[in-house]
Amino acid sequence: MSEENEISRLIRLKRHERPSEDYFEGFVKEFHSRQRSELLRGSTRGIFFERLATYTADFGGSRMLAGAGLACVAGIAVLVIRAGSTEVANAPTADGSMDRSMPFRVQPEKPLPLPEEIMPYPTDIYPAGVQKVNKEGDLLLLREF
Amino acid sequence: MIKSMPIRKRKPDADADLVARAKDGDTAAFDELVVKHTQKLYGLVYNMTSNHEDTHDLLQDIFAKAYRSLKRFRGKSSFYTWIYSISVNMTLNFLKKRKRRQAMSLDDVDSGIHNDKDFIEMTSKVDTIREVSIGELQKRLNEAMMKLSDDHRAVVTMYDIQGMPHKEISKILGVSEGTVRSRLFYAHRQLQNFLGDFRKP
Repeated sequence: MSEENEISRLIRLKRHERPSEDYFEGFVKEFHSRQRSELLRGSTRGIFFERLATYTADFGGSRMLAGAGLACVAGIAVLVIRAGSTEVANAPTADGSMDRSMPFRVQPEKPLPLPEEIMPYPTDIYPAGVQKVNKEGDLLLLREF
Repeated sequence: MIKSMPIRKRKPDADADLVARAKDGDTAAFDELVVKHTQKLYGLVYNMTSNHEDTHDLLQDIFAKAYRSLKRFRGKSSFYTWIYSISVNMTLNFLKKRKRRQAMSLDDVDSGIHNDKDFIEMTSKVDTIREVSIGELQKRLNEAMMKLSDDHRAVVTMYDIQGMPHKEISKILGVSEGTVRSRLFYAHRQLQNFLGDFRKP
């Protein structure tokens, strides 16, 4: 009998190593229980990536193509998001000045002066934040602009 | 005169009906597939890991993955070959990630070993096998298997322990039959060194 055959026969004895029959009888039950708890525990993102991995696993030679396609989609998404945030950033600030940190887009118009009938008293005498006198001669605290 | 080529009939997949029903959402059909294949897959994973707890966890993951991937099973191979491939790949990936060698956690050896023809013959001829306990023999065999590389251990498990032919192993591993034979040859040489004292009469 060849040596290789002897070794084969010796190793084959390992097939007698096995758990009890009870183990296999309980296996399916535990399988169901694990599936249920996985569904409850798994995050949406985790399940999404797992599904994606399973889906792309079968592309074989086209795996590179699938990866490139996904990279393009991600790149386009980034560009769209950045374009949207750039428009918001270039809107004029509350005091009418431009935020010079962002690329130049549109110069805001200077605020128009209020007509005189709305401002009956000359304001050049009273700087902003200082009192003003009304018709009755009462002192009023001007709102700071 | 034109000779007609013999048409090779592919063996019908015994699990085809259960697979079709499981794909349609019949969970009881998938449960039947689990019950049918658990024992053999347990043997595959256990002999590759020599650890009962790891085998249990892996087996659960294997069937979970098979269930999720079932819709894309085309039937080009038998279901058995398909799930066997999943099992081998997942076990090999697990062993690669398991950085340090895990302590063995061995199943009991069933009493059937005493009636095993090979065991009876070897204990009658080889003193070293006769002298050690079955527990000690089991430990030595497992230690020898764990010294092999993961890929070599896989082919020894499938060929020697589970009795699969070279052709089937090559389909499962996705390699040529020649590669399977050369891996087996090398693995057997290694095992002869590790188990040298068990071969002396």
